[in-house]
Parts: sequence; structure tokens; C-alpha cells
Amino acid sequence: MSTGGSLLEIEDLSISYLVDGIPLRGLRGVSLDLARNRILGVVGESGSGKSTLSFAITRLLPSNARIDEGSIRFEGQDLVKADMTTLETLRGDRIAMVFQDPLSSLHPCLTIGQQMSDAQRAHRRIGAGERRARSAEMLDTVGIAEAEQNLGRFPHEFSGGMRQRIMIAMSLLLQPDLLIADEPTSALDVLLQGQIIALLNGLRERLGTAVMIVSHDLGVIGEAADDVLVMYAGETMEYSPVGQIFAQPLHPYTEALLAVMPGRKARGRPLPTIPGRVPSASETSLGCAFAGRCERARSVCHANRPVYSAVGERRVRCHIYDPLSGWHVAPETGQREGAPT
Amino acid sequence: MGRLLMIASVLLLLLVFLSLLIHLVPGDPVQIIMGPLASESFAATVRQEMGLDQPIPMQVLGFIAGALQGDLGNDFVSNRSVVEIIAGVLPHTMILAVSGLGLAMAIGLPLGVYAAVNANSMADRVIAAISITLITLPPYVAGLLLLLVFSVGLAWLPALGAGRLDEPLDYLLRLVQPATALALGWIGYLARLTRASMLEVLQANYIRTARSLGLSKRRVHYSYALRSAIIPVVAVLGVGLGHLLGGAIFIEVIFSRPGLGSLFYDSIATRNFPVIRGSCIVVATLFVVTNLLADLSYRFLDPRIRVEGAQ
Amino acid sequence: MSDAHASLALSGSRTDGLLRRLLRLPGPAFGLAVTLVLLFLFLFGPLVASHGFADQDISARLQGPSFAHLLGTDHLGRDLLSRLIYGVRIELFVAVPAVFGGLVLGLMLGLPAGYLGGRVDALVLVILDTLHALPTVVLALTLLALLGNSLANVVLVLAVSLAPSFARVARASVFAVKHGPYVDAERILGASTGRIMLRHVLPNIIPPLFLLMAMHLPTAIAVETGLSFLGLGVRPPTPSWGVILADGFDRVRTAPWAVIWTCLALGVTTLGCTLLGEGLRDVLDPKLAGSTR
Repeated sequence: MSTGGSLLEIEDLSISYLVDGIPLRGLRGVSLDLARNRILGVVGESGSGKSTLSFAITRLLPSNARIDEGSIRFEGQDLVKADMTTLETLRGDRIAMVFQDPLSSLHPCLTIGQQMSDAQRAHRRIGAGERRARSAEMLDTVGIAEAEQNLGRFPHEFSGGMRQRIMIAMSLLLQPDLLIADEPTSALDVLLQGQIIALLNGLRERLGTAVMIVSHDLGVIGEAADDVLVMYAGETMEYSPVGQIFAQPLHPYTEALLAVMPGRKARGRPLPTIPGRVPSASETSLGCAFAGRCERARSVCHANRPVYSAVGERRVRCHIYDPLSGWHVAPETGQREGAPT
Repeated sequence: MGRLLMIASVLLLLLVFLSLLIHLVPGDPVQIIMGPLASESFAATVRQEMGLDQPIPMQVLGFIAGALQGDLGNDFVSNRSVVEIIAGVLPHTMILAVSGLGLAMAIGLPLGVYAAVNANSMADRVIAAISITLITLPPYVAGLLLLLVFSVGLAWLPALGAGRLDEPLDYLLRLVQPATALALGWIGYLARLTRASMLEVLQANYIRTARSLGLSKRRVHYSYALRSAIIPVVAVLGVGLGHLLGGAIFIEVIFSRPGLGSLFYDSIATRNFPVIRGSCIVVATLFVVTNLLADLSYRFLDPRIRVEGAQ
Repeated sequence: MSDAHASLALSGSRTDGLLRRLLRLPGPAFGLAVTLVLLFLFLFGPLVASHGFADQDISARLQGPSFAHLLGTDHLGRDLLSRLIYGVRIELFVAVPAVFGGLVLGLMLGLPAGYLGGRVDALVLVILDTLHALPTVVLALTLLALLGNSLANVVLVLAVSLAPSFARVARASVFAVKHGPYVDAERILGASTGRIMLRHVLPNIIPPLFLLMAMHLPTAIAVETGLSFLGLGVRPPTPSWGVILADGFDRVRTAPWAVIWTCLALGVTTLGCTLLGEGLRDVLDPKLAGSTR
């Protein structure tokens, strides 16, 4: 676990969504550290809370979301307590975001040039000419030729891969310290995925930017990230350097994820899936969130919530790695039918 | 192309309808127009002037041919050409309608944006209540109430006449009340429409992107969101000008303004058919043309449609 | 016919819930209250009114509100409140048949257009667009100038002006139901086109059109009053609100009361009817939102 030079420190963050007055689970006690010049991959199925996490950092959550507790410290400043002006100053300038679907994420009625110019104007007092020059330069950096002409085009006039490059160019205009990319490649084919990942990697090396990539695809994370955070039902399950997580996964959920990861040669066959389903956001369990689907679950797993404990430089939320949890002494109960509520 | 064809057929049908108007009612057209008291010689003049002595198909063709060449016939009372009469008063009505619509946009759009941005707040509810009240207020009621308050009660504004264009200040002062009266209903309507449209746009991903780039709230709402939200509003404005011309009849009568509306009203009261016909054609043409303009600006505002149109 | 019965039965069973949902919001509740008052005055107006609508009291002309005349009197010394109350009858006598006439005319255009499609549809669309190109008031005034301004003609003219709106909704609804199972079955069994349209398509498209009738009632009242105000609708001895307004407007500088009260009555009426109509629409058929005006 990297210490000292942390750019982003999230501690015990819990978020809920109010739907018809009833709070639904968003995040439950999420903690993470991210240092400069590192790429963190956040992986999980849909409903795991990984998008909630990425939007929470810049406080771009939907209006019915509520931060119940915890802190999000960016360079020591707690963004949970920050006011709108502070957030607007940070967004785009220090912390930038890249979104999943670049077509719907770019304004359809404004040219690329206008949107890139507005992004700079929000933070820097520079003239229109210089803004345009910088925009063109950044398009060039992300590998878009004829940058000058392309600035005058509208988003729908580009291909999907080009649009994602444009999104990335826009987010990097002001050389942010932290880049959050929410499923940056899920709308793209494999070839383009690789290009985008290479692009992010190159930029990280050149600018020293910290990057957080959020994806449901462990393959993407494996290629791009230095460290991996595995999320499940709004909780962090495992945190590991990328090499170790593939070689020796700790959490049974990570194991299951690796088992169903589509191999290159398995394409065309039906994808294997983890049996059972992610508990819905209204279900709360006393025990481990994954217990209902876990092959190694014992009674303690249904009764007590495991702590997020350190195993070397890695961290894991599982009773198996906690000698005091009682998992090792309790009799084997096998997999139980359905999760207790 | 399909659209232009539609416009052409609408205008053609209208011309046929208007030229047959007099024959739709049983009885001698001249009698209907002049009333039973008309002298025989005058009736004959009118009959000839309006071409009523010709067979009906010839009348229709003659009228359409004339209209296409910009000739809408002569007013048999003053013996001036109908086009000339209408051209004399049309500027007053256009100024009234355009300033009414402008006023409605200047107030209605920001109200709608504010309501959408503060959805379900107290302010939103107040704006909604004001909007529906304004929408249901008939234009003549709006005109009469303004007249009562500002001309009769407070005596701040001159009530009667349009003034002269070479005295701009006086003209403007006399324009305030009629234009406001026309605008009120549209303020409510535009506020409602803008609110609904904004609420939809504010959910869009690109709004989240704009916020993620650190653009100020004001800029996100009034520049990014409104840029898209205004598109359906503009489509309605085309129809709006047509409706305003209808309301202008009441407003021009109430405030004794010269204009197309009061001209039409006078010609109805005196059953001056050439002028009625001419006014109808001009109003319908304006309606069709503004609709077309709205459609074109719609394309201009949304580049995605622009591309489809070009292909 | 059975499908129509089914939908009627369905709406019957949820009537109590409907009323509760309608009254939950202040707008529709206000609208319902206004409508009930109007209905009461329509039925029992002559019993409520303190004076006859034509009773003149030359000694008390153009007076402000007093105990003898709660809202004041007009230029012939007639009681304004009583005239406005009698006026409710005229308004509804004109507006209700006008809206119904609009429905019938609209169906005559929209039903064949939607069902037959093709050239019939194209022709109807051109007719609708042509009618639409003239503002309601212009169209109504032109027709009135031709026909002469009697009460019946006002109704007719209003019906013609409202017809396009009904026709459009009818046409669109027909598109939605014309390939329903009942219609297809009848067609296979060899039923005539006319029979299918009237027996099977019509009952299924009527509910949204009834709702549209409710939404157009305030429009009809407003336009009728406007026409009468211009002196081209209902004629003077009849106490239409437009006539009262026109009388008041002639003397607005010296005696504004007639104009004030009539404007108030009109404003509250159109607002109330619209709120009730929109409330009903939101509860019954949210799809219809935006199809009016």
C-alpha cells in the first residue's frame, strides 16, 4: 500500500440513494488510496457501486444521492465538506472525468472546438486564439489528425473511437492531477480498447497524472491498471497490485470473477457466469454481501460482516483471511439456499 | 420538398375556399355583401368589380391568377387596391406581434429555466401557477385588464392609437400595453414548455460532462442546457406568430390601433369581402412562412438534423 | 363493442380512486370547485339571481357595488351580478354544443383519414393544415360574416374552428387501434369498412376525445365571449359575457365595474375548467399531454 504521496484518500465512504423516501444502498464503507502517477482499476459487476464511487469524488452524483458518512480527501482537502465554488474550481482543472458513452456525453449542438474552449475558459484567463491552439494541440496528442479542421466539427461527425479520444483530450486540456475514467472503453471494439488504454498509459507517464479506471471488464483493468480494487454490492472486497490479483486472488469473489473472465479463445461460446445474483440495493445483510453466492461461505459469513483487513500490502474483506473471525473453527455448513436478510 | 408541396397545396386550397366563400351561402352574393338596401346600379358595379357576373370556375381561376401576381382585387368602397390597403397597416401589426413574441421569450424562457433548475421548489410552484393563469387568460381579457390598470387607473400610459413611426418614443410608449397584452399568454406557455424541455435536457449526459469540466452552474444551465432545450420551443414559435395575429384583432380593437387586425375587424363589420379575403390570405401566408422559418431555424439549431437534411 | 365495454367497466371500478387522485392537488380541486359552481349557476341561476337579466332601473345606472346591487349596475341600470349569472347559461348553451359539434366534425374528418389512409388521409391533412393556417378567431369571424350572427351560427362556427384539433387526435388514435385483434377479426369475417369504423374503431378512440372535449370547453367559452365582445357573436339583449363586456368597454373610463367583474368571471372560469381538464388528463391519460394547443 503506497503511503505518504497519496493524492486521493477515501475513507469509510457510505452513500445511499433516496427512492420514494426509502434509502437504498449506494456505497458501504469504501476506502481507497491513490498516489500520483499510478493507475487504479476499479472492477465490479453492474450494481457494485463502482460508478457511484467515481461520481462521488467530484460530487456529480444524482440529486437523490446522500453521503451518509466518510471523507474524500483530495490533497488533504475533504471534498465531502467542500462548497459548490470549491468543487467547480477543482472539476475539470484538477480532477477530470471521461465518460462511458462519448456520443451522449458531448453536447450535440456545439462544435468540439467550442466545448474545448469553454472547458478552458472556466478555469484560465486566456484568449480565444490560445484556447483554440491548445485544443488543437491536445487533439493532436490523442492522435486526431487535422486537428484545426476537426475543431469545427460536431460530435456526431466522428466515429466512436474518435469521440472517445476527443473526450479524453477534453479532460486532459488543463493537465489534471487526477483523471477518472468511467468505463472508457466499453463502447469500443477490442482494437480501439487497446489504443485508448495505451493512450491513457502514455499520458500518465508524460504528465504524471493519477488515473482511476472504472470497468466491469477485468481484462481491461488487467491491461491498464497498476492496482486493482474489486467492488461488490457497494463494498470494497479486495485491493491488490494487478500482477498478484491474477496470479493469486484472495477473495472468493475475485476468484469467481477471474473464472468467468472471457478468454480470447472462448469467444463465441456462451459466457460462463457466477451463479446467483448481486443483492439488490434494497437488501441489507448482516453478514458478508457475497455470502449468498460464495462456495466457501460458512455460518459466520452469513452472521457477521467481515472487516477490510490488510494481508501484506494487499487488503481483503473476507473472514477466511481473518484468524479471529471464527471461519476456521466453525463447522462447515456449505452453501446455503438464498441469502438471509 | 414535401414540405414546400404541402405549403403550396394549403395556400392553393385556401385561395379556392376564399374565392368560393361568397357562394357557400345560399342567395345572391351581392345581396349578402351589400345587404338588401343596396341600389341597383351600385350592386351592378360590385357584381362586375368582383367578377361575380362570370361563371364560378372562371372566378376561382381569375382570383388565383390575380393573387399569384400580387393582386388581391379592389376594395369597392374606397376603390383602392386591397394589397395597398393591407400594406399600409401591416407594419403596425408586425411590430406588435414581433415585440409581443420577443417580450414573451425574454420573460418566458428565463422563468422556465429557473423553474426547471429549481424543480419542485416553492418558486417552481408559484411559476407554474402563474403560467397556467396566464395561459388561460384570453388575450382580450389581458388587454382590458392592462387598460384598466395602466391607462384608466394609474393613467401612466396612453391608451389609444399606435402613434407615428417618426416619433419613436411616443410609438414605443403606445406599444407597451398592447404588446404586453399579447405576450402574457405566451409568457406562461413558453415558461411551461421551457421548463418541461429543460427538465429533460438536464438529465442528459452532456450536461454532466459540462459540470465535470467545472463550468459554472449559470453557464451549464443558460448556455449548455438551454441551447438544446430551446429547440422544441423554437418549433412552437412559428405557430405562435399565427396565434398572435388572431389575438391582435382584439388588442388592436381595444387599443384602437391601426393594423391588420382592426382592418379585418372593420371589414367584417362592413362585410367588405375583398378586404376580408385579402386579410385572410395575408394572415395565412404569414403563418405558413413563419412556420417554415421556424422549421429552418430548427434545423440550424440542431446540427444532427442539418446533416440528415443535406444527405 | 365488447372491448369498449371492458374499458368502460375498468374506468367505472376506479372512479372513487380517480376522484381522490384528482383532488390531491390544489389545481384540479380548484378546477372542480369552479366547475361545480358553474354547473349550479347553470341549473339554478334564475333562482339565485336577485334581478332579471333585463330588469332596468334607470335611476340606478352605472353604479358601483352596493347592497342592492352587489356588483353594481350597467348603463341601463341592470344588475351586473344577475346578468353574469344568467350569462353562465348562455356560455354553456353555446360552448357545450360547440365542443360536441367539433367532436362530430373532427370524427368525420379524422376517422376516415386514419382508417383509410392514402389519398383520403393526404386530402384531410391538407384540409386540416388549411384550417390551421387561419387563427381560430379569423376563421370564426369570416364564417360569421357570411352566415350572420345568430346563436346557432356561433355554435356552428366554433364547432368548425375546433374540429381540426379533434380530427388530429382521432386520426392518431385510429392508427393505434386499427390493427387491433377485434378489428382484424372483423375484417377477415368480411365486415364492411363503414361497419368496422363505426362499431369497432369508434368506441375505442372515444375516451381520449371525451377528454379533449373537456379541455376545449374553456377555449370555446373564451372564443365565444371574444366574438360577442367584438359584436359578432351573440347579440345584445342576450346576456352573454361577451355582450356584457362590450357594453362595459364602451364606458370603461367612467364605469369600469362591468369590465372588471366580467374579466374576473372569465378568468376564473377558463382557469378552473382548464385545471380540471388537465387534472383529468393527468389522471386518465398522460399520453395525451401536449396534444392540445
